[in-house]
Amino acid sequence: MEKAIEIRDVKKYFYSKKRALFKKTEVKEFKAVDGVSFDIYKGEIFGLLGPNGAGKTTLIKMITGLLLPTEGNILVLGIDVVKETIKAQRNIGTVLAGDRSIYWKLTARENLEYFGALYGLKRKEAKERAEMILERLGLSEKADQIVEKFSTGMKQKVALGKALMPNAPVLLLDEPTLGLDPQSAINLREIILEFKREGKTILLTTHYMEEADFLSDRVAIIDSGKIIALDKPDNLKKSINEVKTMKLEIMGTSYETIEGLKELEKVENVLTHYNQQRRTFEVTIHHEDGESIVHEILDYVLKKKAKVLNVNVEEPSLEDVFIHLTGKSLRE
Amino acid sequence: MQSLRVIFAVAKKDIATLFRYPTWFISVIIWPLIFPLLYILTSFAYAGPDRRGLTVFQRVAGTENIMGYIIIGTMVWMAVNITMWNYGGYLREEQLRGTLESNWLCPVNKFSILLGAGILSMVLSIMFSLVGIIEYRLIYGIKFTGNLFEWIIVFLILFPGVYGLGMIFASLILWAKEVNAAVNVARGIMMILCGITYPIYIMPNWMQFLAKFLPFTFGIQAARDILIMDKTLVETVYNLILCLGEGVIFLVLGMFIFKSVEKRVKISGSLERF
Repeated sequence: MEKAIEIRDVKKYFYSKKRALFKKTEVKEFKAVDGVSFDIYKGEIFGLLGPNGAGKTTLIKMITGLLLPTEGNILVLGIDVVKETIKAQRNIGTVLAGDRSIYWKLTARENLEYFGALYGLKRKEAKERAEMILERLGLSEKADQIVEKFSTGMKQKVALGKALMPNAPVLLLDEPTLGLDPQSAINLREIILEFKREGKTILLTTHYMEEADFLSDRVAIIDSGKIIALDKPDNLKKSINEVKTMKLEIMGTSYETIEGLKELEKVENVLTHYNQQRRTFEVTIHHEDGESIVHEILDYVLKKKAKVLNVNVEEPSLEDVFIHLTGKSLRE
Repeated sequence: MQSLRVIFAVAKKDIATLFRYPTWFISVIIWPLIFPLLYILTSFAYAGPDRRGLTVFQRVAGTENIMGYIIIGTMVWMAVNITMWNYGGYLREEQLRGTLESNWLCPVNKFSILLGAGILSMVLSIMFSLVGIIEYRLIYGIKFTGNLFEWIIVFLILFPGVYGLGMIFASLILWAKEVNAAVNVARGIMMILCGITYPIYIMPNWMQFLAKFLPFTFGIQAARDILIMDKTLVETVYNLILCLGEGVIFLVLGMFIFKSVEKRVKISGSLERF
């Protein structure tokens, strides 16, 4: 398979200095990306999944040339991003997280035409392409309205439209559905799948595991700047098939009681989330034993005089893969 | 060609944005009128009830047109001031708005974006100056000398310095993340050293020496020679050349600092940081 993006042993370290009067300056090193290597093939959707601060955005920014890597090489369609930044940028359309990447005081059309000019399109070409993209994203009716009046979902669509202006073969989408309502998120995912059908290579970062699972041909899981797993979503889930996932909703208990579950034999991980609305604890338990431990867990909870509202034994998800590999939740 | 397209696209975007804030033109009408007035009235107050003291100032300034003398100085100062606030803070404003990275992702020489950003400042400076001239001509009956061609030459010669200073500020602010203090210090220094309301030779020698490193000192003098002292371009060529020469040095320095800050923020990752 032909490679669209090649990432070779890329590191990005940040340094912060702490100065104090009459004291030696203290330099702290932070490894945002720490020796990452992988390839993205032409025409695939590649999901980069990880919690906040894992290094996803830093990696995307290095691919786009916004950040210089401390070490390593990044090639986009064979072009070295560090040595030939502008040439590489011609092949990339990018949406960075959030809806602030466009001008709120301009109309949707003006935004697209402006970025078209910056991507080297001639005036007529930019107008035609903007029109086409507005139509495709369902923004034609509001094309001449100022963006500040748009909903978050519409602003996000304009940001996506901006990335589509150059008709670049590679699309980098950093948390494209962040902050969107469920319907807008579904619409945007459909649009992303359309781009794939057109043959575009897409790198998608997200911390929504369902999104990564649904959209991606392959997924890399990143944590603390390192790639800890990379495969097709199904393969990743199969890799932890021996681990069972049990989800409980419990009322009238405490964190201490739930912590006690970790002491049970064959329990691998216990993760707790307190649902403030329902005033219940949502507990995810990974264990290696199929059936018998379910009784053991329920016995333990009931002995502590807690009320079990729901019990589910589920197939592993990508989040379970992440929990299995790191011992923590994506939401942490 | 691509650079020109980018420069005009940035300018068009900035002008469209400005026009969507409906009160912007009030400052264009009011500011040129009231700002020089402060100095004019102060000079009248110092001159005494019969304004006898003005003759001393007229002797020092080399013209009887004291109001014109002050207006020219303050007009140039306003042009520099607008440039430093608008253009000097341009990249910072884009950064705060969240759009700087979007621009930086585009496959263009980022310097073209900065050049394009200067056009709005240039348009505003021209508007302020024109409005100032019209208002003082109509309201106070001040006579300006020279012709339109000479006025344009003086204006163009001032621009490399104004642009260069703006670029230096735009770049440094991108790195230092603080606009107000830097602009206030710079415009304060310029206000004192360039002689916007008095001839520079009344200052101590060391201040006069420093003043000669600022192109605006010579630009203001050239503008006064043409606009109120009825001199020709040839007669003030010394001021014109020094203003242009120093301005070009500012411009080159601005480009150099921009390139170096651009690299620095790519290493530190501070392009989007506030």
